[in-house]
Amino acid sequence: MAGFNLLSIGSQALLANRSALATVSQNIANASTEGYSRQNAEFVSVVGRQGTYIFDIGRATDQFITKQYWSDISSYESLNFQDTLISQTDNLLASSATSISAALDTFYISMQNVVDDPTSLANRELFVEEVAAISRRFNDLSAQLNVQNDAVNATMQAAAGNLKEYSNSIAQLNEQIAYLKGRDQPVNELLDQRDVLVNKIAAIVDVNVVEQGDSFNLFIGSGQPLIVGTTINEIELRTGNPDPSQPELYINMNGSEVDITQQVTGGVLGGAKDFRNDVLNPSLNELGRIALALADATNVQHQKGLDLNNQLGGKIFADINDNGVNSNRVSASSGNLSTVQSAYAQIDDVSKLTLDDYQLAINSNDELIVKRMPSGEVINLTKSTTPTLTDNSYYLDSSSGLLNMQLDGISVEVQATGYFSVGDRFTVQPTRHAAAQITSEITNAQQVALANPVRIDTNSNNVGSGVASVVITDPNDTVFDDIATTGQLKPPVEIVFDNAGQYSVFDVSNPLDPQIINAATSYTSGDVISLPGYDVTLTGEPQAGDRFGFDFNKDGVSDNRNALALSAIQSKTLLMHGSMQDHYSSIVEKIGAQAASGKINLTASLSVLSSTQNTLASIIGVNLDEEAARLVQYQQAYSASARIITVSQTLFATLLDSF
Amino acid sequence: MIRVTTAQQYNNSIDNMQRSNVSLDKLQQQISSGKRILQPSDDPVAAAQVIKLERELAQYDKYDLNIQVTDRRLTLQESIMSSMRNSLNRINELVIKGSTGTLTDSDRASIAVSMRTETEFMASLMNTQDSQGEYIFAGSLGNTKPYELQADGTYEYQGDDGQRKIQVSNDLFIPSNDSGEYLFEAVTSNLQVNIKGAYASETIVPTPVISNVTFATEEDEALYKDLTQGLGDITVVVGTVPGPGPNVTMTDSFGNPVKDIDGNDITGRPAVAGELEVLGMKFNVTAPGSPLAFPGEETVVLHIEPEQKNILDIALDYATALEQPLNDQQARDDFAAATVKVFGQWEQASERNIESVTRLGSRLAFMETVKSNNLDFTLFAQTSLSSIQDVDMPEAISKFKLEEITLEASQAVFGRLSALSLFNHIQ
Repeated sequence: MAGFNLLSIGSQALLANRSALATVSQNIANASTEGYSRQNAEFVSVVGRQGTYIFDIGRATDQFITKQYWSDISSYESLNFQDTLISQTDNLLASSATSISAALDTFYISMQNVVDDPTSLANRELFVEEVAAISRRFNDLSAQLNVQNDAVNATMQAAAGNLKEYSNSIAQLNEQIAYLKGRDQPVNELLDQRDVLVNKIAAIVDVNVVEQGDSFNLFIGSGQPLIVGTTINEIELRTGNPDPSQPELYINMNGSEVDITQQVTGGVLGGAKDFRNDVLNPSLNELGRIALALADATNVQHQKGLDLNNQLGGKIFADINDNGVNSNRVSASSGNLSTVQSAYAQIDDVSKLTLDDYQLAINSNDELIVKRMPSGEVINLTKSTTPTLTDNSYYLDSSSGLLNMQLDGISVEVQATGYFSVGDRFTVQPTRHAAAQITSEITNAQQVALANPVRIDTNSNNVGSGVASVVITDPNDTVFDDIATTGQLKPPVEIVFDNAGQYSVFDVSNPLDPQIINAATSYTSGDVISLPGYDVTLTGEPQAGDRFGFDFNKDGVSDNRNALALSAIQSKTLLMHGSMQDHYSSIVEKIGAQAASGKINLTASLSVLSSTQNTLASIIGVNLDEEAARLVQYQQAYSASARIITVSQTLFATLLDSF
Repeated sequence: MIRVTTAQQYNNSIDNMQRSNVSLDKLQQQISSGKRILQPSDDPVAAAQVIKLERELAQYDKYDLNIQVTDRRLTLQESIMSSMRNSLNRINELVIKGSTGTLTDSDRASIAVSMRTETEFMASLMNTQDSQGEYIFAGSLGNTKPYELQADGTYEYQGDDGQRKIQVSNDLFIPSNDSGEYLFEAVTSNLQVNIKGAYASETIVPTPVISNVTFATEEDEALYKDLTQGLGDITVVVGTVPGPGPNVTMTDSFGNPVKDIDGNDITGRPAVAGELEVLGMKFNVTAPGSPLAFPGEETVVLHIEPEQKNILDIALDYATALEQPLNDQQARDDFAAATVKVFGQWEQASERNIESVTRLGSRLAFMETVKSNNLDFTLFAQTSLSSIQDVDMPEAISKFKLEEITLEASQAVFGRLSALSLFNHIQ
């Protein structure tokens, strides 16, 4: 019946439009809700002019753009996290208040003062103070970098905690959505919430989302499942092993735990990993390497000098291979089956030091697998049959628990109580802690050894233009044994030229009966004569009968030859690629470049992110003008529907009245 | 159709204003600090260059400081050397005065007193200490007083010939002192003979195969110097074959025979009555293996060189000569000989003084050159540093202005945009 039909259509339309108005209101209410997808009421007409009904409340979405958005979030967050930290590191390294290069300048200026006036105790005191100051500068900068490391670790800790929490929520939502969908209940808002949670996870780590039915399955790292349906694989950040300052990220998959620290990319965790690998650890290692070079070269040269008390120089800085310091460079993994009795890594040659750490793993058949860290590159080392090694070789006897290795200017020895087991791991960090460990050892200004212990006596009757100079090669040689008792070298030496352009070297312990040491040798300017403990270099044109005497430089307080040699260390190529300050400025440049390119990448990544965000927003977001128009539209339709009912009523009344 | 959502409109406006604020803040920092590079990442290559240039500047500062220190020391030395020169001249006048034949013994004695006083003054100059108490003419032995009056009335040099070098430029070192050995031990005196061989000292009995080497006169010394010039130490072998007495063979430092005044090799030259005169020397020869000689040793090395005397001793020697009364011919002859000698020696001493002052002067002048060179380098480094790290003010200010206008525009647009809403028009 037509009238009844009208009533039915009218009431259906009323309901439908009211529902549509509710949808519009929901949209308006959530115009600012993060991740909200606008909804729209889908009207469907009923066949045979039977009216309309709301078939579904649709949800504007685009899975492809959403996935793009997640990946953009990951890369942006990773770069953003690094950007803040790199700028800090870079400023620390370059600021004149903390810069090692500036500190080295100050140090060498104070050294120059003792070069200028070696007898001045005031200058010597100042120099001793500066030794302490430069050590502190290294310690401070290393401490500040470690503060950054702690900050990174704290962020990683928080991020890992959040990751766990968000995973739980997503798993719950997966379950809820499946349950509600099964009962034909609305799930749009839950879907939105789940997307937002994935946004948050993407900000922590790059995540791969695979939809399976109504569930989201999440994979991280190199495909490790984080969530499959309602199953969650727990993420845990653990104290680093063997280096406790480098926490590791573990995922627990069906009871087996996998270290995915180096596998994660993107997000805060990926950013933290990259920052640690590319900026923080190389900076600490480079600082350490410079500290080692400074301490070693200064000590070696200083020990070749003579102090105000007529004694050979001691150490300026603590020895780089002191016990405790060298054992600190080797750490054993806590998972090892063997127990370490003693372990050390000794620095033999600072000029060969790299910025790498090394991971040693015991393999079967007494084989050792050595990797550079963090690159993971395997180093080919020759296996030696004896513990006495040459460069790039190792010795391993698992049954007696002895391991020796020599490469890159370091030698490592690990002695286990008992034997090694296959799978035992050790980490060697030759440079990591050196900047924190450098300390001054000299305290007494009298003991600054500025003179050369060998005095050159150029005979005043020499007629030629010969000039002799002396470089100490070994201060421990027996030639210096008796300086305290006899005040002489053992033996004092004289070089005498004959009339055939040759020179002979004599032991003049008894000046009246010289004993020949080196027989006549023909001379060319620049000849180096190697004597026990020191080298003599002769230049110029000596004549027959010219003689040069070499004896202990007793009371040579005004001599500054060793001070000159000490100050020349500043510009010496001590390390692989140049002087200490060359290395320092190159790390500042390198990190500056990383920071600069990081900024460019960040800007690019931000514009990609906002473009994706805009595209996504333009699909799912709410426009209030649009909603206002729809509000008017549905309101009018509602009024019209009400009118249908009125018309139906009027029709019915007309019909009744006609009887 | 591209939709724009309301939230987007607001977010974008906020983002844009934020960006403008960041860029304004950075420009403001650049302008107020005057530095273009606020942190290394602003321009990593330039930042590394800045470090290098600052290092270079620090180095030149250091060189400048070194030059000042060296300049101070050398100037001190120069002024002492000039006082020394005055003393040398005064003593020279006293020598001339004292050598005049008409003086009485007491006149000469009083001149001798003046000379001794002047010598003492010179000794005090030669023992000059700097403000730190370092003896500046002691070579490397700065805590050792270089000229100490000995028991025998002579001054003996206690220092060494060490020179302290100071870096005044890259690869350029300048000596900042001269030793007393060079400055004052300037006068060559008589030849000194050292016999070297396998005996411990000269007191040992029996005697070595060669002993008591002497030069009778200055002419003999001159002859020796002439004949052995450039030969080095002389090796003497005493043989007993053919006999009857010992004979002497002399070789130079290479092993060639030494020739005597007539051009003959001194080979197997027999000693007459245990004595030999050759090359101006006179010495005793003892046959090796004979009861008087050192057992089994037939070779000795003669190391003969002139003794270096210092100017104090020369002056004191002449003062002693002046104090001798000229009461006989022998005394007068001795005095005349001493006068001739002292004139020669004094000339040597003056020459060394002039030479050292000239050297000092050129060293000081050289330092001036180095200093101005260093200054040029410093200026160059400073210019580069400024061009690298300093901000270009007009550019920065105009950028600031532009950014300011952009921000104002964004704010205005935001105000208009936020006023736009369909809801305002629906009644």
